[in-house]
Amino acid sequence: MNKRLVNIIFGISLSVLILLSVLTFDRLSTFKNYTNIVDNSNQILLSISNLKSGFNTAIAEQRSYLITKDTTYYNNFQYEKSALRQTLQQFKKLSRGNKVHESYAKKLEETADNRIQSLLVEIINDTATTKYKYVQNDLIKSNEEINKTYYELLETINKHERQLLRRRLRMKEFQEELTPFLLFILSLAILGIISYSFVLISRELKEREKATELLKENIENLNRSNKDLEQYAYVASHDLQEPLRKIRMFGDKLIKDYGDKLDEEALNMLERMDASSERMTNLINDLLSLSKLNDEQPKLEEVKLNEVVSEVLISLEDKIENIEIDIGELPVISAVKGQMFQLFQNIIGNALKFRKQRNDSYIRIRAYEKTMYEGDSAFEYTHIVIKDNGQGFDPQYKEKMFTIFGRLEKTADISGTGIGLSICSRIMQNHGGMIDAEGKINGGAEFHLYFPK
Amino acid sequence: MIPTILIAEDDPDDQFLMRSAFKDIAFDCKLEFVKDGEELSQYLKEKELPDIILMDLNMPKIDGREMLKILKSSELYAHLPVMVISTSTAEKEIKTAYREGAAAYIAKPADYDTLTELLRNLTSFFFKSVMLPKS
Repeated sequence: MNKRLVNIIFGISLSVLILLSVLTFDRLSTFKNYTNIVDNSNQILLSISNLKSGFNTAIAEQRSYLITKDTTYYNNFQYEKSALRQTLQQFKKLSRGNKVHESYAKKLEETADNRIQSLLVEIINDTATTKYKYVQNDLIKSNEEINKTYYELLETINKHERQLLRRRLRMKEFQEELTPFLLFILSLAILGIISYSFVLISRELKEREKATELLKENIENLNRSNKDLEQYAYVASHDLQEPLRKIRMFGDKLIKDYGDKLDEEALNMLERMDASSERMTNLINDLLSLSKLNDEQPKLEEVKLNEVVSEVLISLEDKIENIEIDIGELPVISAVKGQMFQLFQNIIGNALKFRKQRNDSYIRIRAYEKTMYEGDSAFEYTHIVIKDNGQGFDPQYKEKMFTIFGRLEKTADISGTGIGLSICSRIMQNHGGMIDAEGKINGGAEFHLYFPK
Repeated sequence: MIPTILIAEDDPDDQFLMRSAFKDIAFDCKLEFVKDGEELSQYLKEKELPDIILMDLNMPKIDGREMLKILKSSELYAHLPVMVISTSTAEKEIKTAYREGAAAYIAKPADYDTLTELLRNLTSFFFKSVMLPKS
């Protein structure tokens, strides 16, 4: 499964989730809006009904006053009048923002003012002197027109508002039905996407598990065949030793017993044969020691490297001449002592073997601390450098140097099997460390050993 | 009386080399050869007991390891010095041989001079100290 698909799927589910939240929020605000609008309509209807009944009451109070002249009715009328004005203000407030309503409110205010005015005129007329007095009934009748206009206007507004309310209620209902449906569909979609990605991921995990299993199996097989190969190398070299030993012995014996009967050429050939078989013996011995390295379960102990190097120098004593050997302060490390001996013997032996015939040859051994980074984690190493100014090597063969039989140059005057450095590499591996080399042709060689701390 | 050295060695080449090495060190002795453990037992039963036994570890029929056990656990032969000669230099093999009562463990040398040197040293040690009172 590719990573892009996963990214796309998660992107989609994320956006759908965001859409869902936005939509939910939007739906809820719309809901609130519609509730407000419906509420507004209801309030308007209420104020219309208030305006209607308020007027009825005001007219009744006024009429009662005109008949009885009781000022209580007059006061009641005044009270109703201010109540009406309040209701009108309220209506104006409610209709704010709606053009039709605003115009209605304006008209209503005018008409209501007219009507109140007419009622007041009726009261004044009642108290006026006869000279100026209208016949009350005529006045009332003519005012009836204003009354009628007022009620008609109220009725129109009422009708309009009711229609509006009906429409608003219908829309609210529609929203109420649509919203849960929409949210449900979206949730279903998210559920689907998530299930699909779950299936994809679990399939991927299963495949990965299978791959890991396969890898493990392959590693096991590899280890087994490596072991077999090592075993094979051991047996082969062990069995090769036997006939070779005899070849060398018979050769020796031949030279010893018949040397004086052979001419110089024959002797020379025999000596060459002997040298070759000796080299082969060394090869086989090195191979054996290499395969023994693989076999051994190393016993770690505290090894004083200075001591090891001193022992190595003693063992190489007959090869040390006309060379300066400078050994610095070396640490004590946890290692297999025998292998450390072999390691330094091989490297110092190499340096002696490949030195140049000059007066300022040297081998220098120093120890440092080294921190290496692998990702974010730091690893501490003991870093040992063995440097010489001998023949060096061509850096392009660096990798080859550490492989079995990876000898770079077949030189007649230098003996060696070419296994030495691969033994060193194996020893470093056994200690969880690394070996590296730097060098130039005729520019000396530098070997780096890294022991983990 | 010249000493008898019994050599248990199945390889004819090695037999030849041993024989010539003994000749080269000019050590006056009687060399007897057997090819395997069975022949060795037969020899001990039928003939006079040798002064030393040189024995290879890897032999057909009854091998040297087995033979060493048999010899060292028998009343008749336990006193015979047995020197093991083998190509193996495995520490385990050497330790086992000594534990089973080998007088010496000799790794087969890789060149002829070493072989003669070795046999010279061994025989001189054994026969100077053991044989002298007899003569």
